[in-house]
Amino acid sequence: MSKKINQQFNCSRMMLPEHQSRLNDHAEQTAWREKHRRPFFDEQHREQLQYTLESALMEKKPVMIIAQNSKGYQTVSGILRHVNTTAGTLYIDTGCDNIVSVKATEVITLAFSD
Amino acid sequence: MNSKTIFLADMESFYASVEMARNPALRNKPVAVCGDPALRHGIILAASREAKAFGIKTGQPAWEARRMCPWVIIVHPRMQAYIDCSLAITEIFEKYTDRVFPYSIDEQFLDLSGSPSLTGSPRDAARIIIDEVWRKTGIKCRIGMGENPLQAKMACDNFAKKNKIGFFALNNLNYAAQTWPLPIGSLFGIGHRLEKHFLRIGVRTVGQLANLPRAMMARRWGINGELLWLNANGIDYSVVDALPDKAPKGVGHTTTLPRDYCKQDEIELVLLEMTEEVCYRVRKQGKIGATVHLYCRGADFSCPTGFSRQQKLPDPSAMTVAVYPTVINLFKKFWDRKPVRAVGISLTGLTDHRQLKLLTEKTEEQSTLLYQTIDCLHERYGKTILFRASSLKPGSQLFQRAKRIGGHDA
Repeated sequence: MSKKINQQFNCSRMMLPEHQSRLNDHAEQTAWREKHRRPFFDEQHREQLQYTLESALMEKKPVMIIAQNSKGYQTVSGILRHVNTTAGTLYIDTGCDNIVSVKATEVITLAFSD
Repeated sequence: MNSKTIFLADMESFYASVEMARNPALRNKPVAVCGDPALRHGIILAASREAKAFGIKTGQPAWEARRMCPWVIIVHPRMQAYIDCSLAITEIFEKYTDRVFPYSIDEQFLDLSGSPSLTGSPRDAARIIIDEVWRKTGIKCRIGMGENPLQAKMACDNFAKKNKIGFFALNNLNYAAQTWPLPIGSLFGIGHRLEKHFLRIGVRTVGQLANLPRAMMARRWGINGELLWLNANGIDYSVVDALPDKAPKGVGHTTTLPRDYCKQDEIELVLLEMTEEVCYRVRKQGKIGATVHLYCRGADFSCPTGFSRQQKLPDPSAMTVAVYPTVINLFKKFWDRKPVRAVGISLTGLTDHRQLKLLTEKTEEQSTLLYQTIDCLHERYGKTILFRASSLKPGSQLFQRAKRIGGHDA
């Protein structure tokens, strides 16, 4: 069927280029916000995270942490060496004396590797 | 099959309403937003309800509006503010559905089909939306509802705008009863010229057109005829698309000149400046164009002159140096030497810039780099930071256009 019949409002649309440009920017920002929206955690999940964090610190077992920040998702595997409760930062030894820091507020998942 | 719920939200006297929301002293007064008469833009762009009560209409010259209402308050347009307000309203609508389709600066479609009825019935949802737009922007919104965008548009234009509550619903069951008695000019897709034509052949109402044979409408008027038949019968296959149109088929600019231009070199100067603007916008999209369209309108309204012609470029391009010769060729070929009041240029047949010739000449590469550098400077510092010396000559419109959106002050 003709495009004019299928999309008569697209065909007759009157938009200033500046308005269209703002709408395009708005759509991109909305898509970015949706992609980076932080998941909602209930109380049970938060408690589970806390329990696993404490166990990992005490038992020095390897853990896998998935964090979400402004750049996207970050996966870190290693042994949890230290937690700075003041700064809210976790320090993970990924091996070969490489220490990676992760903000506690960015953590989505924390689980034992084995 | 579940029926759809489509809203068409229209903002009353949008530009005038934005001005009154910004300046409460203007409320309940006859206000008209008007372009600059000194630049031949002295046309009413929007009139408040109070101004309309005196018979003032959009499109009238300012002097005529003043004659109808000597105390009408004329306000100059602020296009950026209107775009900002329209976007703020879009964001309000997006709280209710992610399928919002701005149709123009003051009309937006919403598809609420399948949305959870947290707000109750669609009528309740419309009332809540209207209230929220009023509270947050001070703009009065009217909503037409239908099972497709066409029904929503007809409901808004012919009923919601005219009743007290600002809402009306059409559907497949009541469409004929409500719209068929309306005069033929009320049907979406029929402008003044078509209206006169239908009246001449005895088709006076929407219902009379709806009951003409569809095949006859298609045979006589082609696709347009078939579309009008569908509209008269409340049938519409279009879909409310949330995503803005990211891939325009062409880019163009039209301008009304501040005075009649009679000299060839002055007109060619304006054409050069507009070619640069059009090419810049095409380059910004990463595209090149294949066909140039040139439009010139004469100065005398009582005896319309002018032309609208197109020509294919030797090679698709978005560089002024390549496009302008074709523009000038069209102008020299079709201009009748009469004074010119308005000109327009557009570049169509856009394709991605990557689709270049395999063997690109060195000079073309250098030109591309030069234009990229100039574009960067323009984006950062404005159009007037770097320009051709010819734009200092009388007749240039560069400096005036640099400050405007849609031909009016930003």
